Amino acid sequence: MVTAIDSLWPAEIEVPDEETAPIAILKQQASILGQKTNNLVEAIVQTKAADFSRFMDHSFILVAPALNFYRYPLFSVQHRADKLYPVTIVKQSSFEGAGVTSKKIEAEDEDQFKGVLKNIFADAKTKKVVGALIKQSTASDEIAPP
Amino acid sequence: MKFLFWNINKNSAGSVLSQIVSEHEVDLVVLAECRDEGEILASLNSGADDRFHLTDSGTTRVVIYTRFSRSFIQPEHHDDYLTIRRICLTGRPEILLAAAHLPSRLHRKSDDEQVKIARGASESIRKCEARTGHSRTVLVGDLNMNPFEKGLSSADTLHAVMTRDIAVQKSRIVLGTEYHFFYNPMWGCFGDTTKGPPGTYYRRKSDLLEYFWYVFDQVLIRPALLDYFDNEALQILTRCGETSLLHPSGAPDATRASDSPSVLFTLKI
Repeated sequence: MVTAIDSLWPAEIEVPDEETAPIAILKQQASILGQKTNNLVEAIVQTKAADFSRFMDHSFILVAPALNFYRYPLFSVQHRADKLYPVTIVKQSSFEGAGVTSKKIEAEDEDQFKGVLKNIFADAKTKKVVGALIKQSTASDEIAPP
Repeated sequence: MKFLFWNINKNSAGSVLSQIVSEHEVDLVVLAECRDEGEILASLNSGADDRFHLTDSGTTRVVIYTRFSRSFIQPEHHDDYLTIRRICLTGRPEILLAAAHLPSRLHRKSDDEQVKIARGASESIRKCEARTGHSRTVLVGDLNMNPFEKGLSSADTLHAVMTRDIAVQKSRIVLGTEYHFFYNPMWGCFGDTTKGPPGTYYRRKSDLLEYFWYVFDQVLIRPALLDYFDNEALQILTRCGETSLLHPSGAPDATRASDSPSVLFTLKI
């Protein structure tokens, strides 16, 4: 016979409410991108464990559904699993030349993090990638007569 | 939930489609012969608050757009002619949506081949139902067969019968094997005494046997979904706003949108 054991957990579990979690901000921004592009370019956030589960790693990936769901990883965000901030943003800055280079940007708190995201979204390369994906998504296979 | 199926015949039907979708407040669009998935998506979402998402059909020659997120419509099966999805919306019963565009009668080699493909579709649906543990299944698409043809009506194919009363019996046993029913309301869409056009496809050839009107675009409902299916809401659409999509002769006007009209139906889930 199994003996019932009382809950050993404290009555209250503290959930930080003064800060927005990085993943929530990323998911909101992913949703807004879809709205701005008529869902021709969407973004998804994929989370995995890093550094033997001490860190969480959220990848922000552009997806073009009409291009056979082509995926373009834009950047990733890492933070300790037990703390929301600070975060490290890892941006793949170039696929040109010999290989991929990545750039790390630190953000101490939510405001800094939002500032970094704003800069990444406004970056000429980001706009170029999103624009190219929209253009290709609506490219008709009909060849215009000469 | 409102569904629309349309074989758009490789036309750029985006503006007509988006008008129909808006007018009838459609939640899920299934297209066959869709050449420009992205352009259609842009048209559907142009000026819309509640935007559509393009879902992944793999290699299947149908395209599905949903107003809800892709995470609520998960693939269960893809092949060249058939895609089967689980639609699982919060607080609503899960359903299986099977969408098909079976090979055209114009290009098929024989009736046997058509029957074989229909039998394969039936088996794929049964496997998905067994895996998911329910048979709240709807099959929609251009099946390129009439409801009375063997591929649709025979027990070992799709087994789609013409009345609810028969379908609610769920299955029948033939030579020791149990075969499950679909209800096919499209049986009631033939001829000029219906509220819609006499069929979904018109053809006039010099063959000895010519029906002229065919019902190739169909909606098949499993008995487990019958309580959610509204017969009165089933429509073959021939208008877009005030504009008729038919030729003055009554046949679908391929120059306006497509050579077949769209089919609208509702599941009250």
